[in-house]
Amino acid sequence: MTQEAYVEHIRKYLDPKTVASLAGLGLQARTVVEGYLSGMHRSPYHGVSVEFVQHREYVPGDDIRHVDWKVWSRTDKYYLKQYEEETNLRAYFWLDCSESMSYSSGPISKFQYARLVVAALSYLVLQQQDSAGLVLFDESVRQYVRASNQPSHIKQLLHVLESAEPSGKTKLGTCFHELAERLEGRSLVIVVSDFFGDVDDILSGVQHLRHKRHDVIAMQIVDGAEVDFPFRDSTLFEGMEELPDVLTDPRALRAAYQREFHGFLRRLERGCRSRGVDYVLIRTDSLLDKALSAYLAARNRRLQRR
Amino acid sequence: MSQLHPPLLAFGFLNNTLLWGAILAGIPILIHLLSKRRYRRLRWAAQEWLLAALKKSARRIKLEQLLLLALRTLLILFVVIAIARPYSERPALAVLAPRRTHRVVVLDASLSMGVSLGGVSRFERAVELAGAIARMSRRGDGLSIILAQRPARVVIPGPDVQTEAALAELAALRVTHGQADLAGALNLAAQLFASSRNPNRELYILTDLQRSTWTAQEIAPSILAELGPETAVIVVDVGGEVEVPNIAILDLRLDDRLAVTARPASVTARLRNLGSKPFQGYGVTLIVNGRSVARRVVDLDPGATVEVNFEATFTEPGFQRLKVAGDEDVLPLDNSRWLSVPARERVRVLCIDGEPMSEPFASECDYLALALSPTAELDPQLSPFLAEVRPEADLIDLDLSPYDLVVLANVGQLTESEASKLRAYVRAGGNLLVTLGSQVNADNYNEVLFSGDDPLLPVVLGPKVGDPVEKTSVFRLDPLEYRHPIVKPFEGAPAATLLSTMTYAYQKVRVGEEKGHDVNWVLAFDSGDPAVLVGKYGEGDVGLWTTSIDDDWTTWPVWPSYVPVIQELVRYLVATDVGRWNLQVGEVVSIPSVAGLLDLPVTVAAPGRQTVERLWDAARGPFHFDGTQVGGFVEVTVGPPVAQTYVFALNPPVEESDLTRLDSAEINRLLPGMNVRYVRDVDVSVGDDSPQARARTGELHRPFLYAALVILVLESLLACRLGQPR
Repeated sequence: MTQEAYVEHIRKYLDPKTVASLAGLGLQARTVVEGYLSGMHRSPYHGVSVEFVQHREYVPGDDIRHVDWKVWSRTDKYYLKQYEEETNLRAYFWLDCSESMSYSSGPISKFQYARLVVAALSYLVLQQQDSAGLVLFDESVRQYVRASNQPSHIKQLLHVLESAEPSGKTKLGTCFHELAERLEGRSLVIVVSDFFGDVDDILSGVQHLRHKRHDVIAMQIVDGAEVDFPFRDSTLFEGMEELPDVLTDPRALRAAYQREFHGFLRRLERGCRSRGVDYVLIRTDSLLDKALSAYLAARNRRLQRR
Repeated sequence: MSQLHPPLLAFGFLNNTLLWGAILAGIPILIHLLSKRRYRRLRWAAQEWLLAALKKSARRIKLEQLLLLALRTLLILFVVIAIARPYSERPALAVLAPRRTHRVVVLDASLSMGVSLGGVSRFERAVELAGAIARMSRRGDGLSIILAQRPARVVIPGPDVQTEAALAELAALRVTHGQADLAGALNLAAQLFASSRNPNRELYILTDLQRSTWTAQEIAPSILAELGPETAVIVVDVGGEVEVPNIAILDLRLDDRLAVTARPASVTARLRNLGSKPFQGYGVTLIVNGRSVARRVVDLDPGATVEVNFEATFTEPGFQRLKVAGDEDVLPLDNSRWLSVPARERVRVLCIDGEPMSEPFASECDYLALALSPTAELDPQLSPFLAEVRPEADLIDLDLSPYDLVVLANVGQLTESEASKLRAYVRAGGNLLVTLGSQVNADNYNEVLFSGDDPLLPVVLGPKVGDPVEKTSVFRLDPLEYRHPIVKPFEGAPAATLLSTMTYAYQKVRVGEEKGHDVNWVLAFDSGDPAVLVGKYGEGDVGLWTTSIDDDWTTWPVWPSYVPVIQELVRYLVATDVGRWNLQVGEVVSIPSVAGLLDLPVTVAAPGRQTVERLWDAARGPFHFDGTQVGGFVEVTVGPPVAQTYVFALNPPVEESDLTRLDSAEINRLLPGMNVRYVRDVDVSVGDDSPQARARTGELHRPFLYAALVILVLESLLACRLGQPR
């Protein structure tokens, strides 16, 4: 595939606007993952280091190449061989469902983008025989789906995701502390949020997760307008999450706003990195591969550490 | 004109009304207030950081908005102020105006500018305006002043000039009694502009727009091309719109050809009412040599011309100063006329008798002498002529200068020296009548008098025609349709017997056609040959009588027409040359050269000027004097050793009395392709009370425009930097 063809391919499958136009979150997630992986020239399902650990029962959809025929010959039941790296990775997707995630300056809100990211990653995780769990939260944990590596698990995840709507205030730090206590064993926690809130509080929660030996990827989803602040006309900015309204001339305030906002982003990034947390800033107008790449890079690092 | 000294920061506006436009300066404030009420709503997630930014920047934003608002308000305010044309009298602020202008002021000094209404003449008004224009000058400006008299002259060449010096020059200017040489003035203006480095040119023509001033001469396209459309021509009308009634004395003339002390002279003044209303009881007075001698009162209908006759008696010979003065009206300069008349005591006629006889009426000159003084036996003083008969032998020794006319009556022949003497006498203004007869040697006459490079008359005497003894042929006179003024009185008077005169012999004469000699036929014979010819030679006149002056060849002397023809002929030949001494204003006074005289002291007393004294090299050329811009008498005294006073009369041109004016459209037609602005005098600044005058000295609209431009740039930069919408 030429460079141009690849770029076109990526655009076709990873453009959030294009993907969002597809019907159903499942199809969207699959399209993203398939598109992303096919562009990488290698399959995620093969060539990884494998060390047999245990069997598990076959479920429809499993690759029959992994069926252990010796076991079948003895028991007349279908069991699949499971390998170490496929069984030990437990990924938890924490999706921020607060009101601030509903903002959108374009066709896709931050929440829609984040949901698509979670769906795609869940699909990818399950395809890699890993376990995927999901947490929806705002100022508290709204919904908790335990991690599972069953391929059918994706349906539940997608159902939960599709039924979620952003509303309410955010208390990220509180949620992080709560979830850090609830998670069992070491997990890979992928927090998909705009992280709008008190940075110190958030980082405290993150610190708690790290203390519990969880790996954390912080995927900060922001709208392009929140970064660029491109407004010109006199505007009444109506605050979300119970913040007061502001009537101002946005061009006069642009520079000051950007200073404040970028300061917030930098503090969060530095805080994450200093705590060994992978930090990815993703704009809703950017391609979806960034999230997938960030996840795979984190997964690889985790495997290499073993 | 008052001389006010305004304070240092004395501001004013030429267009005060436009200052209402300052209300527009409220527009930015209004827009600002309205924009506070018009906004869009947006639900915003990152409100926390917006609030933080607002908290830190609220004061700065407010300040910046106020600054922008102030700049925008000032921008409109400055533009409005500039349009209202602010000014400051003080040079301290006037230097802010960067343009350098060369102003050339052309002052119409024609007679019609002497119209005076309300105690101030148009010319005085124009001088006042010129002073105002002079005071407009700022440092670096140029000023030139041209007086459009005839010929036009540069009063102040400029361009560098001190205002005070210019005002002093202006104050010394006087209206002339002549026409204006407008074309010449514009030509001078073009030359002055061409030599100036000032980029901006303004040509002010201060005029009453009198028609003859503008239409007497065509303004050459080359002059207009030289001025160019880049020259702003401002025609300032000082004439006003009121119709001006005017009575003018068109001329004063001597009715008689002769002015002698022996007889009173008849003079006639011609008056015209150039207004549109009748005038009752207009008085005119004749003043002779400074003494009022008669007054007449006439009524004049609109457009009517009336002649008023006077009788003037001259007590002493010499130049007589006649003036007719009418009652003054709005244009007093055309209510007077002057006439200079050189009067003789009597006309002295020297008859050189070529056929003297002792018997009565046998000599050649007997009939002539009697015809010149028919009442001599009764009262010799009654005749203006005094005839003196001398034999031809005396000719060479006589001083001819006392005589007004020399008659060569049937003189046989002349020597070369006699001919030269006669030639010099006529050239200097004497007059000669040659009569022929049996004694005349035609070849000698042809040789010494009528041939060569310098003939007294360009004629050739031929053979005698007819036989006076046998009287075989009779020749009658042909009056040639009475065209010549000498025989004009005989027209329609058959009883005068002019045509029944019988001539039996005459000398055939062939008239040449040499250039420079005009020979006029007075009478001819019915054979077609000339009977009486007259012509000019030098300053004098020459006549030729081709038959005898006595009754040898003709019966004319005994016919009634003889006396009037002789008297009219002599009057014609010796006629007073009034035209030479009576000139139009602006014409050059000249006196012919006098051979052999060097460095003659000349004193000239001309009206409106100081007496001029000069040395005149009379042998080298004529004397000229051109300071003739004012009507009246010019006295030119030459000598000693030749103590002689010549009196010239200067009269204004009659065209100037017609006060018909042009309108602005006609001016544009006369100045095609020029950038002409027509303004009334009230629109032009005069004196310190006038806003225009003050404005011109320190117009500030350009600095305000520049300031507005700077504000505009500042506002753009600031708005761009602050991210403010325009």
